[in-house]
Amino acid sequence: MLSNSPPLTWQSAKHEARRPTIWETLTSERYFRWTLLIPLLVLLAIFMLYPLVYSIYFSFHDWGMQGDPIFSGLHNYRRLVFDANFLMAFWRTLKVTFICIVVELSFGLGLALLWNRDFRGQNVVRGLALLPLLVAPLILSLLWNFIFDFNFGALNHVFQALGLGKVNLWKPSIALYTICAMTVWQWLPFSAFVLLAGLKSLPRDVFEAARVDGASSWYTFRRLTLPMLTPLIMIIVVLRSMWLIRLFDPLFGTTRGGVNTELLDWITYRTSFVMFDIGYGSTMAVVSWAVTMAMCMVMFRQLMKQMAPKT
Amino acid sequence: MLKKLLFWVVTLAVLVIIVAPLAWIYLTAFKGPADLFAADLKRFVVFKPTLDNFVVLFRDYSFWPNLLNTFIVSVVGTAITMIFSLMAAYSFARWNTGGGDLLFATVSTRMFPMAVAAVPHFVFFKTLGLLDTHLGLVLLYVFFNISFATFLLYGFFNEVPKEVEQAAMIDGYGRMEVFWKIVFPLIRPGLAVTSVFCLIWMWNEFFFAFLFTRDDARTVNVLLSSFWGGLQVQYGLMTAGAAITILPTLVAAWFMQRYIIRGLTFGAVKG
Amino acid sequence: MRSKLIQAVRGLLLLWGLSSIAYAQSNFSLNDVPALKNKRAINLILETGEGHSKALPIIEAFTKKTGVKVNVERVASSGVYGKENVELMAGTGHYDVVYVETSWTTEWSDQLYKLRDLANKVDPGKYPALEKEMANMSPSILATGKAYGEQMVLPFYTFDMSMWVRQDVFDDPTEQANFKAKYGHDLAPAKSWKELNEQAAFFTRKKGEMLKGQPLDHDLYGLSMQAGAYQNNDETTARLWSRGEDWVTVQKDSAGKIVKFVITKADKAALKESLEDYKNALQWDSAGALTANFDFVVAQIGNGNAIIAPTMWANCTVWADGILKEKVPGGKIGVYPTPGDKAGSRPYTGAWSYGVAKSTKNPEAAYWLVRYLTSYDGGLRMFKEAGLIPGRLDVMETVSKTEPFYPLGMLAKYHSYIWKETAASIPGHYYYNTKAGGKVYDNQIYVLEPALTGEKTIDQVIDDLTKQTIDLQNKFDKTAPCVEEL
Repeated sequence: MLSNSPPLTWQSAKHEARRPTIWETLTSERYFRWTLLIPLLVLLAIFMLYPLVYSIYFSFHDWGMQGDPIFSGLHNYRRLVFDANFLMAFWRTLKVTFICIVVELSFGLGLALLWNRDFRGQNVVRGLALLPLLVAPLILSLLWNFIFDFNFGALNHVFQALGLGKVNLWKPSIALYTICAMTVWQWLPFSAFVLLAGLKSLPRDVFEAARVDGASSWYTFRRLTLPMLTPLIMIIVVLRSMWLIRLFDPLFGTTRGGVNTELLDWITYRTSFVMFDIGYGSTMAVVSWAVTMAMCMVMFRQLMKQMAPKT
Repeated sequence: MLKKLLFWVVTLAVLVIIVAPLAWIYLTAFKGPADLFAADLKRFVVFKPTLDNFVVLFRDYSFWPNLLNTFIVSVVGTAITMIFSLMAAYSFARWNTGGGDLLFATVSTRMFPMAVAAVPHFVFFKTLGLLDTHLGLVLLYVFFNISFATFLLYGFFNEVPKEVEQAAMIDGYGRMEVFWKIVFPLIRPGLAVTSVFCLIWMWNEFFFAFLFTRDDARTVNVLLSSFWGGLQVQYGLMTAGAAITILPTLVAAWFMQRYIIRGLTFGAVKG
Repeated sequence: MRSKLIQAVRGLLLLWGLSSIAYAQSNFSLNDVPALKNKRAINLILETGEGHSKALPIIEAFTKKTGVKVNVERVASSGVYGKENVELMAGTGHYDVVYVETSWTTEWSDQLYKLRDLANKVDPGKYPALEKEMANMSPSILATGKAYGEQMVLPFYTFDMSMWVRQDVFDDPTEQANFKAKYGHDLAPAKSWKELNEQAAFFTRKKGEMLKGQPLDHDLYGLSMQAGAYQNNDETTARLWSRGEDWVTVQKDSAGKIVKFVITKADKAALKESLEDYKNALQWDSAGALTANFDFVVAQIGNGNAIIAPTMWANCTVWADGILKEKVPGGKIGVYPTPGDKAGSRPYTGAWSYGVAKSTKNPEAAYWLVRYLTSYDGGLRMFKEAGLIPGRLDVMETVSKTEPFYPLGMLAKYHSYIWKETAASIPGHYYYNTKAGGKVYDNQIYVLEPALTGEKTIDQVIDDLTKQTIDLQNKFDKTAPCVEEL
């Protein structure tokens, strides 16, 4: 708007010298970028800062939501450091995060490459492939609990029909991998589609040139496709890591944290919402958050280097 | 020829793995109570179908009002989220406002275990009288999704080269016009992807809907979850409800994938 | 001589008649609810499930009579604690009538009306009228709804544990003969854990082996248990209490006031024995037992995959029988007390009850709704239509007289028996005397699980449990200290 204002003359200078209106300030070159952020920052301040401060406050107290909180200093934190259950949960969460991301990315990329062409029924195929993302997580966890059940589950029925023995997928030694399988099943379409969209937008001419020059498809993939997809891959890694560290839904209808599958968010939920030990639960939340932040910060910086604005 | 065969074998295998488990939902929705726990594969698939589950669901429970609540909260929530995150993402992409740290702070909001945030939010909402209201739930959902949406849109905006905008500005377009006439059309597919993901997330959210609503604003997922646990898990009713609840998101996702696969993604201005 | 006999018989008949009238006289019906001036709507939670839906007409009848609208919220039992606790503690006053599970009674006692006070406030007959009504309820169940000697809630339906056996299998002459030949004594519902193990081993068979003279077309398990992270603590409780010990020993002074909570050596030893026995018994159960909740036990028994469910909820009997009728011709369930030890059979017991929140804005309507839901009429209806067992002696009496033995009469008989059996021991149990009940109870489930799956040794688990229980007990209940006897 200011760029459309008329050039200064002696008369108009008197008018321009008045203080700009709020609207003009907000949309001025200097402040517009901040104006755009106002709704976001307000929301974050209200919904993010408040629980964070609240949780930090309670992490130094004992409180069961009844009566007054009792100050306990660093007791909760000290207890957390020696809490084998918490540490185990943390370790399991790391394992799950790593496994799921590796599997999701590799298979996702494979699927994206596979389906990056025109074929008959492509809309149906791709549409169906999105289904796992559309079902409510609670229903999905109950579904898998049923399917994997030792006696009544469809999976064991199929195994038996094929003449193989029944498998107990909820054994403590492999239950965690079962949870991984459920998660990968649900989120594979996410990476597949984001990467597919990425593949579709790669410039054609570079590939044309490579093909004309006689480059093998492996070479094309390694030297051209992969580097150009890297920013996208990194976004997927950051987003999925964030979500996987907070993995919760698959446990809700299946193991509920039993059989060696308790994850970070589950033990935090259980402490805060089942035992209503708000003080200790807040401590877990604060520590989980800090650790997640630290891990993601490293990944994030890498990503930012790749996506530096082209000013 | 062999390549084509291989392609179809793999594709079909993938489809079976993806779709087959969901068949459980649609099979169970039509089963009577005695058929739910089948002793072998044959009895799992062959049974006497019944519409009872649907009849009871519609008649004895507030299924449609709850589904309407889900619809209202998801659509309004997505719309608001998209507007706010669009603005924020543009700010981050164009000027790198806050030098990357602010963007990180935004993304980091999703790193806090949300179950623990429920208690302070509950107290806060109670004070404001927002419990069991559509507005309350919408605000909550917008907050949960805004960081993800901003981040994703930021990525899409980044794909639009600065030169395009600068050229338009030199041609005399104002800041706003540049945004609406030049940039916006290019990120429309990205907008579609992001809004569909937001919609799906809000449609399927359970924990906060359960805690923060009672009757008026109760969403369909809370209703479906109430068939679980307690005496007599009512798988029939639950899957019947789920079978219907999936459909609108399926339609939305269908359109989304058609839209992006048409190749207008991530800024077609590349290359 | 004959006239004296006739007189005696007449006398007995009179006495018997009078005792029935004694119950009938205390029958409270809707007509006894006074006109309510406060017409403000009230809110409550009704559990999900087809059976519970049978309570809706009861609630509607209440609204019709009093003109007070009742907003019913259906919530699954696993979600009730979180939902109500948040509302109660945040002081929203949303729930007028509060749905309370036994172990939360003492914990929420500060937020609930003492029924004595409430009755004195709104009941024309004051507390004595309520007491008269309570005389018809099971004393042991009522005891679980007390906090510090005061009645806080009235039972809506009970969840006593029982032992299920496939009665048709136990009555089969071939099986009886084989069992006697192998073990030297008769096949009868197990009275001890040792007997149970024998029967469990006896009935665990592979596909192709015989049952009741017919070859099996699937594997058969002797037992079906809920060893998943849902009810494993209740199954342990039955074993622990039957040995005369508890999770924590409650020490009271001569006035009945709690002085100390002690985890004694005897408690720990009994717990160790119980867990070892429990874990050992899993060999006769399907691998799925480790993640099982009650719905899978119902399915196992109902589909004829298992013969005995040693620690199972009696209120699931009608449900399981429904499946058994369709899947196993001739199949029948027998309901018996859980196996016992030194202290006899001590199944886990309790009830889902209704109380009134102090923060309610319509205490009269709330009080009368609770009275009506837990009344003879209400209870009888729930029992006959849904198989849910109310905590009322008069209903058990009626059902055992008027309904067929199988399955309702059998259930009535079982409950009348077990309530009498356990009435004396209930008030001493830890769960019913602590403000940290809900927290300790839920925590047990997660701590016990690794012992059953083998991830941790039983000694380790007992150690963990002791530490956690002491921590939670001392944190959330300041009535008396909790210590471990070393």
